[in-house]
Amino acid sequence: MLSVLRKSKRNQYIRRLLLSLLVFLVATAQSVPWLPLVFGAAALPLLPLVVCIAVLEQEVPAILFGALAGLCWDAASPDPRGWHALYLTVVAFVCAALMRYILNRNIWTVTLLSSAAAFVYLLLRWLLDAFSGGTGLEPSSAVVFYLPRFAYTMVLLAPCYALVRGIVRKTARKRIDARISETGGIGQIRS
Amino acid sequence: MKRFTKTVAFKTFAAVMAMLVAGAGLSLVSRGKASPVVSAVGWIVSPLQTVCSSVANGFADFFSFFRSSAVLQAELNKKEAELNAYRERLVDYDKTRQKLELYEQFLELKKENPQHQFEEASIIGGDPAGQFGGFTLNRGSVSGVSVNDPVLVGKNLVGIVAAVTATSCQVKTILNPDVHVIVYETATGEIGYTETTPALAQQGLLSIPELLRSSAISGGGQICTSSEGTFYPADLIVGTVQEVRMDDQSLSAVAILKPAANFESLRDVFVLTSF
Repeated sequence: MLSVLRKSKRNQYIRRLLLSLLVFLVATAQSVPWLPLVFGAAALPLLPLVVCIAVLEQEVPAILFGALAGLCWDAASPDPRGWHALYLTVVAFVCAALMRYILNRNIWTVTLLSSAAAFVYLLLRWLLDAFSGGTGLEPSSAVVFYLPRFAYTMVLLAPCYALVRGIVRKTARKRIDARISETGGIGQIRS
Repeated sequence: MKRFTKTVAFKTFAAVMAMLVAGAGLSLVSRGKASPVVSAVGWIVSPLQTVCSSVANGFADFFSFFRSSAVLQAELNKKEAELNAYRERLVDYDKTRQKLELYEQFLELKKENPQHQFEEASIIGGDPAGQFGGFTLNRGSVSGVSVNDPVLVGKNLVGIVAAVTATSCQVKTILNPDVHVIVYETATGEIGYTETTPALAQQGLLSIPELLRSSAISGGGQICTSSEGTFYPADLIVGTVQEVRMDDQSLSAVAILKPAANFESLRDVFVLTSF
């Protein structure tokens, strides 16, 4: 029984280690030109990745992964004050809370939340560029520059979801719980 | 709601947000320094990015070699082996030549201005959501880089250091509307300042506004930094005038510039740490 519990804990550590590595890799792929430009647009895969983790993980780790992803983004950003970390932490918290209290866990929910996260981020960037850069609100830059980035980011949602889901499934506690039930032990351990 | 705010998740969220907001606040107060939390993560991420950037560049060179090789192979089928050896040498030669050109330009600048202190740096990342081509370099405060240091490639001005962490720094290019440079036209000596808009920046162009309608500046004129500015030394090349337009609203003329630095092919640059 004890060994089964240990295995469950070990799986949890492996899952979080793998997710951390995934966050580091995706952050690097986003800032180093690993992903090809499509019609001149670069992708922002950290946004859907954070949403996928928040949807499929528990709340506390989801918030920490959101902060980690944002800090990695900030470390390679021309304005390293931590705005991305703040934004992604809020996104992770909101998504995790919505999943706990309101929404169901499925691909449509992830798509909806990712689109909202990417849309709000790009809208904020456009407004920030417009006001802090003193360039004014130019709808053409929103259409020509930000819309293709939004579309490209959303295309990367599917691989992000598949990767995170794969990691979470491989290291899920369900099988361990089933094993505990089979051996007649504490079956309600999941809570 | 009360129960919600007492959950572990909410408390964790509040603690993380407090830490990040404190970091951002400190960064804002210190003007240009990175948030301490971001700096700490930067210590881990910057070396990883340097390695990944090298791998990415290596792959790009590798595939460009095979693309070129395939074209030449069709033309010279019988000399395949000879050709491959030649291509390998050519790739090495091109790399060395590019590096040599960079250092020649640097040497020329150093000879003209012996008091200038430079730090060679490589680009390790960019901002995919940025409109103005900002990027991250693998040199930080440990190497003597500080905020507002000019960034050059040869004698061409690329931009200015906007923020510094211990091992990396973030650069805003001259295509960023936040960056203004006091410049002069070499032939006429007329002084102005550069600015840009998102529309111009997307075309890779700058402008010099508020010139007199009687300005003698014309297409092809060379634009350099003026000694009247404080952030840049004099005579760095900013760009070439493409055209001069009349601005009907302000009754002045606007010169449109093409920057001398090619931002798309940048890999290695120099940071001017002292001048």
